[in-house]
Amino acid sequence: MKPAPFKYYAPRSVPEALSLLHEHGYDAKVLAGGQSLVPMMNFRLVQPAVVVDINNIPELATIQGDNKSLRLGAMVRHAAAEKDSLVKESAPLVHESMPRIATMQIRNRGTIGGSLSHADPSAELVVVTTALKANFRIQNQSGERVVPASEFFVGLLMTAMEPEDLLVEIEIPPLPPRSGWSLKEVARRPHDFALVGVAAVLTLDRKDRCEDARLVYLSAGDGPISAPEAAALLQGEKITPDLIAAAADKAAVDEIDPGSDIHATAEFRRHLANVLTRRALEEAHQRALGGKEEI
Amino acid sequence: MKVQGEHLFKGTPQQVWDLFRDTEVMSAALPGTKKMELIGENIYEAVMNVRVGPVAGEFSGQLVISNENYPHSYTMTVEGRGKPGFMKGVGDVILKDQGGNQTSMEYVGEVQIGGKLAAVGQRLIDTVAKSIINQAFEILDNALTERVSADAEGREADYRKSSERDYAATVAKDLIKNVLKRTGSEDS
Amino acid sequence: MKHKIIGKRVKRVEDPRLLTGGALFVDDVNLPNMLHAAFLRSDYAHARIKNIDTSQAKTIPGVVGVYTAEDMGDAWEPGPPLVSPPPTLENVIFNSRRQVPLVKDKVKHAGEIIAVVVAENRYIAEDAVEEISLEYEPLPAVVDLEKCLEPDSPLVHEDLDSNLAAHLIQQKGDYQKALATADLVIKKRFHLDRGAAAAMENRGLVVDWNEKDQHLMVWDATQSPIPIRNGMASRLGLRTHQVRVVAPFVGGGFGPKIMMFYAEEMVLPWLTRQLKRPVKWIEDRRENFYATTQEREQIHEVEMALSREGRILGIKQKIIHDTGAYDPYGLTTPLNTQSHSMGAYDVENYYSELTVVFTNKTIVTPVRGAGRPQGIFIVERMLDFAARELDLDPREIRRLNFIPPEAFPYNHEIIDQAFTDLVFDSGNYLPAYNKALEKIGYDKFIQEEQPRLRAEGKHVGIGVVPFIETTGVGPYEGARVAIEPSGKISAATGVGTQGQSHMTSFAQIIAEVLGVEVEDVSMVTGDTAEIHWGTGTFASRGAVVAGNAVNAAALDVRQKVLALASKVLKTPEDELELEGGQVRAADIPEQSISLGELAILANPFRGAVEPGTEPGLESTKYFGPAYGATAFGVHGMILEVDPETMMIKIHKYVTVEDCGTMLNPLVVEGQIHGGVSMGLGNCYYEKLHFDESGQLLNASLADYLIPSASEMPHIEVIHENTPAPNNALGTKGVGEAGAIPVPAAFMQALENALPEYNLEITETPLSPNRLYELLQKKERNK
Repeated sequence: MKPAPFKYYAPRSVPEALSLLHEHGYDAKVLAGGQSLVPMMNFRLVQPAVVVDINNIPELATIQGDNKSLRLGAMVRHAAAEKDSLVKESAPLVHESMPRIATMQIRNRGTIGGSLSHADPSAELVVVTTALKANFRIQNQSGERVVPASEFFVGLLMTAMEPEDLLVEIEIPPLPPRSGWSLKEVARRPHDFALVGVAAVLTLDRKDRCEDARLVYLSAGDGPISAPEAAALLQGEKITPDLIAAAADKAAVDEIDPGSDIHATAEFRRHLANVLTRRALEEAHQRALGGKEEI
Repeated sequence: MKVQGEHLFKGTPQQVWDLFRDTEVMSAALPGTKKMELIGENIYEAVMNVRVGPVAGEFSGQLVISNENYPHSYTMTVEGRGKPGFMKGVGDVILKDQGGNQTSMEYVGEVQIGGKLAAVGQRLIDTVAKSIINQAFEILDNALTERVSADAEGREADYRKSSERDYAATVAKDLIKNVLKRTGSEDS
Repeated sequence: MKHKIIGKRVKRVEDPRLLTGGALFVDDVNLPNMLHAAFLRSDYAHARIKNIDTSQAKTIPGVVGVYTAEDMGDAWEPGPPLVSPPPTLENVIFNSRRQVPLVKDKVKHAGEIIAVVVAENRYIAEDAVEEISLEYEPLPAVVDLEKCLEPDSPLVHEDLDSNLAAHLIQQKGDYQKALATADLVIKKRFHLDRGAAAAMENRGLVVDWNEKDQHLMVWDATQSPIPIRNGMASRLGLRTHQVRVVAPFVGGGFGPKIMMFYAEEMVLPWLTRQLKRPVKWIEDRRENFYATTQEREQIHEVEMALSREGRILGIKQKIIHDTGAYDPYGLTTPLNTQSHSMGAYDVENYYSELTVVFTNKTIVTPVRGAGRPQGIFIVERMLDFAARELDLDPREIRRLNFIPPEAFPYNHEIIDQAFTDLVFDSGNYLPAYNKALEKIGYDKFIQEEQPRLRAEGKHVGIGVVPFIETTGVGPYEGARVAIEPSGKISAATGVGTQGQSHMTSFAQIIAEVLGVEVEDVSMVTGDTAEIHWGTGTFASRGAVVAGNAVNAAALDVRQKVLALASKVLKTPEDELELEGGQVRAADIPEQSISLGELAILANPFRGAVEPGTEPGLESTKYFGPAYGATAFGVHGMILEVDPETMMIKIHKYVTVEDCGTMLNPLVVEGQIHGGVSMGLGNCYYEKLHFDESGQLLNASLADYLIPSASEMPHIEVIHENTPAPNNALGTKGVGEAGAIPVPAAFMQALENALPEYNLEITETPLSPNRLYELLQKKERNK
């Protein structure tokens, strides 16, 4: 299990990295935490001719925030985000998702930007950033653009990035007041890729009616899978157990598209998605209400 | 592994049938296709660079068509090998005229994957298969549209030659619409 | 005898080195001029090789050679038969087919080796492997244990007329007669699936042929260094003294590293002799999943005949055992299943028919438990089902059937894996069983906790299962103990160390006998230069067989010490005592001499050694038991299942173990903990998924799920002691015990947690997906 030969570059600045990516284009792969790329290289399933290691670019590893958004540099390690009080305060769903990501050893090394660029449909961050309507700041030699999550993930392990692009920052807008959130998943062992999972975000109006609902699923298709029709069932309504059950049925039956593998059939995944949607919506609802009322 | 699905093409069953048997179109339009040749009656030989995100591998193999019932149905047998492993599949394809110049293609088959891909890529294989088939159909549907309009306009059809890079970046973006349907379009 | 050091919770003396990276493992061996091997392994489970082209691979800079079976010439021969079929049984069919170094014509399981590349480093070697081109003719694979016996099945070995590897019948009493008098007959079919041992350290080898010295040096991550030395010498046409095999620290054995003559162990010594340079190969994890032996797949058709009161009148079973593509290890594993299917119970009538089949899968040899978990699963599950049918308490039906203490030694009248009579030497089962029930709080749980938690909507259940384990079988082990001039003790035994704490627990025996500190004893295990005879570390026999050899050698040295000291100190032997590294007159402490001074006196520089005596204070002794020492234990657990998500959590885990005299309770507890983790793997997590074409679908630790620290419950271990009557120390083995009863206890607890479903689980492992299917089926039938 040794990788095929490759050229290795360790740029010290973003412009230097962008220049290397421009030069090598499709032959290059960016190495961030290496927690997905390196095993795939060792299995020789991925054989990049050039590896551009961005671990020596400190400005990519900052966490910043104001009332407009939380901004996570692409090289922020999971462990750093997990412990960061700003992240906990302004993006509690991101904070909560961290312990579910693999093991502590992997979180010590793995990065936010690496996970998102890899676009694994089982990755918590892929789903959470979609549910939170995050924006992705992408640079290349010709400039910069910002892509919303809904356009960033385009397919299985594929994003809207061109080969010479580098993801530099993820901006996460704050949730409106009276919002609740939840991330529920079922994994064989806590650190495994979840068999299925759901991120739910719920915003209530002053009369406790659902103003906005978002449900996004992991391990349920070839990317983050949203369930807009299930969410629409909740829109404008008082949240009741019956309504939650109806939304869960809608999402699990009609909107997700899970595959089968040795760990779970598509049928079992739909069943789990149903159970988890109910639990996630209940929790999100409680949180939106401020935890005061029972449903 | 069972592979099953349906795709709606913008053309008549005859047009879809012909498209799928035209090696020139297939090799021009399908990303990563290095070679596609008819080497005997209903036997095709192909070399393809299959790519899913960063994972890539070259496969060479044969495709055999049997049980032909023009333009309604046929059976397809595929066998391929590459460094990442091998695959073998048998499937039935049924074309149904949906009227309005639309044809549905229904396929159901059994695919066996072996070697490294099967051993370490298990978690994603089912999704990979779906994803590859959907992408290929999307691209071929575009090729079909181009061919139909070129025929109508009496010009040479221009099948966009997909480089690997196109495949990963540009072609993938062509699919955004399709994906957006599922990821929710509130932002677009 | 009251022990001072044996039985104490002595901390492991090997740990500081292991924990600080200071211990030698095979991969730490790096020699000047060393080459690296990488193997081309078959992607297919069953295929004919049409052509191999290595020319491209040979052109890669840094590649020293690429070899196929053809290149080996006369050196190509299959591995030896390790264990032959039992000579004591009649009408045994056994077709011996052994693994080959490099495949010649037909691949028989995925991962079998077709070619080897030797290069300046492993990276280059692996680059070159990718450049070897192969033409295969894929063949239909033999995978299913029952279909493979149908007349039209493809054949793994085409020179045989079926895939039958072996067949034999063992019986005692008359099952048919028991059946005629039975009030209840339970019939069930069981399917127990395959798992991996998944040691933390994979296999590995460094071989170094020294042409000038005519000597082969081998470091091998093996459980059996002495048989490896003997076999390598014989295969290479060398004398045994020309080969030295060292099994240094080994990161987990669990059985598969006993397998003598894996293909790599046949190819590498040949390579170093060809190239006259050292060659290293370290198995990677993916290779381990294909190439290292596995275990446990069996299908059982079982009948149990019972009286109305719940007495077992007889058991009948037909076993189909999957041996994989070859059967070098004979019938060890399924014989263990046969001998454990009566559990801890007094069963008068038993009929057990064994069919072993070849399949296109990795070779099967023992993995921790080695056929025993299957036997215990069957008998314990059948008792649970019987109790339900008879409306008996599951505890009562067990108490009713235990072998009573006065019945020992209890002869089962069949043979065990050692080909000797299956005799249980000793045991006292009922008190240990009752203690486990008490410690887990069985009554309180059933009467109070379970109803309360159920009212809260929680699905909790309890399972308590007793088991026996035949341990400490022969043939023999040896030990050499010597007192050095420094007064320190050097000792060696042939059993290698894969985490069993030999350096500590064997040192405790010597320290006890010679009156020294544990730290004064330096124990060498697994180096053929240190001891010539031995077999290896397996079958829960280290503490029994090697332990008693160590004890015998130490006692002999003690005798020599006393004899010499008696002369020097002019004191009768029986008035001397050994303490603190000194020999002294019991009542006159200042009349003493140190062991070091005695060692110098025992090896004089002038004068003559007296006739009939030997120089030095040294002894080598062997121990070989007539039959094994039977250990006993009980495992109990309380678990909670979420019937919506199928997730299971274990809240409480209690074990009572009786392994006779304990050398070191810490070590015993460590063995139990490790065993339980493997047992839990077999319950719920670990399954090798082979598809219809013999492809392994989870050859990585991302998809092959081993319980990690977060899945492990806290385990309480309670010790009972029924000393083994047939060895001086009174020890019984405990290395495999922890893994054996776990699936039976787990399924009992799971069924208890979900009474509304009336589940009857007859399979392992039970994944969440499978549990979902079972519950759905019950829902539909409601």
